[in-house]
Parts: sequence; structure tokens; C-alpha cells
Amino acid sequence: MSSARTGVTGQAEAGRGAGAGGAAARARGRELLWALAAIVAATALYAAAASQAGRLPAASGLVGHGFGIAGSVLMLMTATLYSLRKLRSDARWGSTAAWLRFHMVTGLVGPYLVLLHTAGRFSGLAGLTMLLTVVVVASGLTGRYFYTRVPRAPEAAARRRALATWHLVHLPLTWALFAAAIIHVIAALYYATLQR
Amino acid sequence: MKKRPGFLSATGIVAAVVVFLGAGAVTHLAGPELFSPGGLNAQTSAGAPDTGRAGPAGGVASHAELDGDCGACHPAPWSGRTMADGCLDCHTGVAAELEAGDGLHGGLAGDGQTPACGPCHPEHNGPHGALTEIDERAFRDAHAATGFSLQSHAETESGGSFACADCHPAGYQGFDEAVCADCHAGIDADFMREHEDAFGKECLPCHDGSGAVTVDHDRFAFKLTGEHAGVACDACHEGARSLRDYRQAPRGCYGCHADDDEHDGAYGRGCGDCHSARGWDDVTFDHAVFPLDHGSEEREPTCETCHPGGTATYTCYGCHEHTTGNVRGRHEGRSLAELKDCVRCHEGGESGEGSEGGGD
Repeated sequence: MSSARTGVTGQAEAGRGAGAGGAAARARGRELLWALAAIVAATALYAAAASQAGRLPAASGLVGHGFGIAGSVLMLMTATLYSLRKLRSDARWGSTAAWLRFHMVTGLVGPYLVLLHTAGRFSGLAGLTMLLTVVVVASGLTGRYFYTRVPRAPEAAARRRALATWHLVHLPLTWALFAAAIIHVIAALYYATLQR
Repeated sequence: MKKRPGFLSATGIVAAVVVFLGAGAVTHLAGPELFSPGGLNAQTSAGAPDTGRAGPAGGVASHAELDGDCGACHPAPWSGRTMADGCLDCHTGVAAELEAGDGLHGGLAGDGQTPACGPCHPEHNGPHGALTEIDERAFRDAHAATGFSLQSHAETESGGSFACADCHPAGYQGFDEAVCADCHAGIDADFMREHEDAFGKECLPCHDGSGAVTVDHDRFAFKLTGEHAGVACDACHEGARSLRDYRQAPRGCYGCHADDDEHDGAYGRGCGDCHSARGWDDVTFDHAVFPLDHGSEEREPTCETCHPGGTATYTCYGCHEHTTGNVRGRHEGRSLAELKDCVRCHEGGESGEGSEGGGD
């Protein structure tokens, strides 16, 4: 049993990262670097496909669809895995803090892939879904700001209240986003993918 | 209390339900346009090529009039209809081309299949969006189905890219070979004049655009059979630029195969007596003039056994029991010249033969 870590919440671990100290500061920014690296790699892949095709890869093409599906899967992982990990008290599945970092990486990279999937077209429900994606990412970044910047003590209660309020906004937005995405996928299947 | 994942929130579920209901309500009130990726093209049929009609088709003058009526072009996936069916219902001219297998669409479709329209004719790009967007690489492949590949026309003489109208100035329904001559005369007028004098003005019987020249060589005396079938033109017609040049190609085997003669010329130049175009090893040699199995069945004579100096001469000496000594002993009174020409009397090479009573 990992009794030493049982009582340690992800917030507390991340909180250590939020504290003063060079190493902790580096750890705090690490997920952003990972996300940036993945975004650069995806951009390079997309640019290669675009230059080969001579135009932006269509959302319905192999590359466009691939980016859309990969981005959606990453976003679904973002929405679920960290929450599920927090239910577990033993550290066999990795630390909660690591899962939070993973949540942030996939929460940035997934939406970016979805953005590439749009090929710059934002009409109809698909555009609305992209808009919701941007809103949810912005909300997530706001949450991250609360998380790392708002002082832990002595106003712990105020901090908890701020995070709870943020949660109250972030979750419905995320649910709305996935509902819109599901409708978009069904519509795309009906009107495009399954058409011959 | 049993713990539940953080994402399972009542407000979240309410938000999702609101989105579903909202989308349903909008679809119910305003039609399925919510799912449209963009507006339809507003170009009227008067300006549309290849429709095979003058007025509106399918009751509309432009695609834009179908905005919101998604089912007009998008049949239910389980209906058995394709989107191309919907296109061809209105674009009867294209349907006729596909049916006849000619014209622009019939020619490009190749094998009689009805191709999907979307890859070349995108929609939902707004009222003024392009209705034809050709993926150049895919189109180049498709063009080969017309019988003329674009492989040799990757770029113009000046290094630019070809436009369709460069070769099809009078429309895409057909092709006039005079276009070839005009353009190529601009590149090398002297060559074209000479080439036309020699071969005529029809380009396509020999040139399919792939760079290879496809000539029906059976029209000529020298048939390209066997190993000759796959030989590059240059191998026999090196540097040929005119009919005169082509006619000067060697016709005898030695013209091309002098270096291939393993007999070093000893058996003459009538390669075809023994060899065929099927390959050097495919030897069909009928030594009818003299039986090779005469006298003895124990030895397989090689050509050199009897023809050490080439097939123009032969000798029986150096084989069997024949030596000048014992032959001379049995042929008293014969001249030396007669004794060298054994077959003159021993036509079958058999022992005891001899037309002039010489014995063996």
C-alpha cells in the first residue's frame, strides 16, 4: 500500500510545484513545454500534408479526419482520465499531479488538432463546436491560473471557493462542447462520410 | 457515500441536454442547414458548362436555390442512391457523356463506372466558391484513361504549368491534333516539318503522351517478335529523326548482333538459319544436308568436329578412324582433292557406301 501518499491529493502535489524554488517552477511549466512540442509536431505534419496537396487538407479527407478524430480522442481523455484518477487513492496508476499535467497537455493538444481539422471553416454547428472548444480551453487555462497563482494559505477557504465556482462553469461548458461534438459527428456521418 | 467521477455533474448533464434540445429545435424550425458546412454556389445554369440544357434543371437555376434542402443532393445513406445520382438527375449532359463513354466526363471515367462528382466539384464554398477544383496529381492519373497520358506534359517548354485550355482551346469535349503541331512547331519548327513530312499529321497513333512511342511495327517488314518485342526504339533507330533515318535501321542480324556472335563469324552471317528472335539459346538446327548420327551413335559431334574452319568447309578427318593414311590406302587412284571431299561419294556417311565403287 502506498500509505505515504494516500492522503496526498493532486492539488497538494501540484501545490508544491506552485511554491517557490527553481525545480518546482520548472516542473510547473513542464506540461506547457510538452504541449508546445506536440503542437509543433502536429503543425509540421499538417504543413507537410498541406504542401503536398497544394491546399489545406480538407476536414473530410484522410489527414483532416485523422486530426479531427485524434483531437476528439485527446479531448475525451482530457475530460475523463484525470477525474477518474482522482477517485483512486493508491498511486499505482501514477500520481494525481502527473495526471493533472497530462490533463493539461491533452487539453491543449486535442483542441489544437481539432482546430487543424476545421481547415479554417467555421460555419454551422461545426463552427459552433469549434467556438465551444476555444471557450472550454480558455476556461481550462483560467482554472490553471487559479490553481497555480492564487495563494494557498492563508486564504485557503477563499481559494477553494474560487476553484469551486470555476468548476461550476468549466464542467457545463465541457458537457455542452461534447454534446455539440456528438451532434457534429452524427451529422458528418449522415451528410458526408456515409454518402457514396 | 460512493464517490463519483468529477466530470459527472448535474449542471454538465443539463448543459448537454440543452445543447441537444437546442439543436433539435433549430433543425425543426429552420431545417437541417445548421449542419451545412457553408453556403451553396449561386452560379446560374445559364453560365454552367456541360449541363446539356439551356434552362433551369431540377427546378432550380442554381445550387444556391437548394440551400436548406439538404436531401436534394444528400440522399439518406441507406437509400441506395449516391450523391452522383442526384448530380446526374439534373446534369443530364454529363450523364449522357458517361453513358456514351465519350466527351470530358465519359473519357475521364474510363471503365464505364460513374465516378464520384465531389472530388473535382466541391460545394459549400459559398455563393461564389469554385465549383471545379482539380487535384492536379489525381487528374493527371485520370487523364490517362482517355488514352493520352499527361506524363510527358508535366511542364511547358518555358517551365510553366499547363492549363487545360492550352491543349483544349475549343472546349474539353474533344481534342484537335493540330494543337500538338502548333505547339511543337513553336519549339522546333524544322523538326516538326520534317516529322510531318515523314509520318503525317496524325500524332496520336504513335504518341500516347507517356513519352514512349507506340508504333504498330507489324506494318513493317521487320516484325518485332520474341526478344525484339521489348527493345527500345533507339536500340535499332539510334538518333533517328526522320522516316529516312528510320528506314536505315539495320535489317540483318549482324547489323546489331555482331558483338553477340559466339562463333566469331565462323558460321557465317545467316544467324536465322539456326536462331530465332525467341533468343539465342532457342536453336532450331536441321542438319539435313548430312546425317549427324552416321556411322556411330556413341559420339555427339559438335559443329567444330566437322567444321573446324567454319561451316563453309568440312572435314571427315580428325574423327573416327579417318586418317589420311588409311583413307589413302583404300582409295587408290583418287586425287588428293577427291579424298578431301568424302561426301561426294559417301552421301550418308555410312560404311560401305560409295557411288564409284571405292568401298569404305
